[in-house]
Amino acid sequence: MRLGMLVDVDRCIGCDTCAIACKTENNLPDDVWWNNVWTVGGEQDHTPAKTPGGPSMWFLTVACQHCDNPPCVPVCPTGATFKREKDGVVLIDYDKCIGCGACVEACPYDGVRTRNADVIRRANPFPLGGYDVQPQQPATVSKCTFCEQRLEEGRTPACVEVCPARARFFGDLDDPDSEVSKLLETRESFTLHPEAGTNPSVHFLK
Amino acid sequence: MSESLPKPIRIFKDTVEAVVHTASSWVDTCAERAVRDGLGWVPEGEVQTAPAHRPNPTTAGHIMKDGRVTPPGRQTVPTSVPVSGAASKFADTEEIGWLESGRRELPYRRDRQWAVPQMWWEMAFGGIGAATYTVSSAARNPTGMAVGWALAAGGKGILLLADLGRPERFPRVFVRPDTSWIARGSWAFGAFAAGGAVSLLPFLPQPVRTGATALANTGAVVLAVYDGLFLNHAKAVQSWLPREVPALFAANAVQAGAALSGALATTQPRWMRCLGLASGAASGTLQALYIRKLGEGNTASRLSARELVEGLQRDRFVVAGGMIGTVVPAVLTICAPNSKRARAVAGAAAAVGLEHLRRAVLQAGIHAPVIDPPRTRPIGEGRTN
Repeated sequence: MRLGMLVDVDRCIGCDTCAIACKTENNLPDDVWWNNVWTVGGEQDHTPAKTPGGPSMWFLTVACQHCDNPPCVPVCPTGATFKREKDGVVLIDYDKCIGCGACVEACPYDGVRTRNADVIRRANPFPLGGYDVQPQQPATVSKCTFCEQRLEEGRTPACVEVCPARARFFGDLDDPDSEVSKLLETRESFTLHPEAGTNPSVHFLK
Repeated sequence: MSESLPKPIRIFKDTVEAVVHTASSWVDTCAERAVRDGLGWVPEGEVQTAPAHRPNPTTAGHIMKDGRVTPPGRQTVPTSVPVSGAASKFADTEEIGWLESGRRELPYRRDRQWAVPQMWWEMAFGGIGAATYTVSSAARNPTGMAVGWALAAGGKGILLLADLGRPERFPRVFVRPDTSWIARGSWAFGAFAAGGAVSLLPFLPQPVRTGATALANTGAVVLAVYDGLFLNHAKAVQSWLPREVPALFAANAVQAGAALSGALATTQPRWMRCLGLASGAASGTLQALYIRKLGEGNTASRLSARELVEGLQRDRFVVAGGMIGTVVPAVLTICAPNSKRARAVAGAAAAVGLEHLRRAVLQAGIHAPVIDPPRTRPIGEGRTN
């Protein structure tokens, strides 16, 4: 089994709901966002670019791509970053992470992981989100887990569940009968930085 | 689970960071004073992108583009063209804008994780210390061996720990030498530190010290190149990926090691001078090849080439790393091979060059966004080459 996600860029409205849901579900510290919504357009949020063909703007939601060939795994000196055998999800064991930053520098997808500050701060004095989410640790690296705590319960990641535009799809890429496999067969899609040879599990539908 | 690092660990990290940052800015200030007052030259990094926002040099501290602040009253109003609009043979004006304009969406950005003083000083101490130890052991110079060991084992060791997010988990760093160059380097560092320490104990039997020296030299060879090799596997930063990076770091370390060993010895043997000249020539050649390779790459790669040759890192890469670190020691070795003073100057120049070269390569590291921003004009327009 290889879990993967599809994001329909034609349906995405750039509302940031997925980013907020991710931050809340995983009880992320201040200034840590595992899911970013980029405007492919102007220099600022939600502004179009002035291109020769007229104004242009669309949105790209980017988190860990859970690559089939993840460059972050071999560079980790402690084995803290690993790809789970059973479903291909790339995870970090915070108890083993030494915060060297090698995975941050190895990942070609900028901004999907962060080394937490030495002192974790949160705007809320109480925990949010999943009850059994892996607690954040200071000075270790964290990133999207496909909401592994929800996967264990048979649920989809929080960003998929909350998307108001129904632009996200989640399932087994190895199963030809799954919704994601069928969509990949019938729709045009692309992955990020294909030249890096990482074979991401997140595809974007055009 | 605690939400903060243990207090002793935080104090250790904060202290080392403060010392290293202070030392780095002191070096910067001294170099800047020499350049400004001695040569009357305004570094390009000082040039502002928006002249309207330029602070009055007589009343305000001046923030340079690399974040350094110069005190009031010491600035010269730059007369050259702004960096973001400057002609470049590596990137067009739109690509430069993607890096320099402070855009929020899909920015090209300079590295912040490893381009920090702890990292470049750690690399500098490791490179020059390991090479000095090895060259001095070949020359049977115990003073040079001790200095090299102290620089690499002491200087690099402390900074290596302080640069980790969780220094107290350092023993875990040895776990994956099969795939990680950081783990391999840590093993090499351990071999060098232990072997070097034993080899310097005069009361031990000679066979034990000889074996320890061999172990330390094996570790030293890896230490001299592994910084470049683990940068080579940081796939997020295009400018660290060329094969020239580890080779350049190794050649540069050998040259600095030969120069420093010569400075610490009573006489410099002929083979050591030849080694210094050969590695200096290799270092200079590799610098040129590295820039050529970057110039042929993608946008991030070409923006890094621009940083190193035309932009913020030019003074460090070309002037300090190339001229002071490579040419000056070679000229002094050729012109005054028997002068102790010349050897001391050559050693200092090579050390300065080594540190600045590593710093320039780290600070010129640029992260590309997940996709290129849309172009507002056809590709090639505004390209100056």
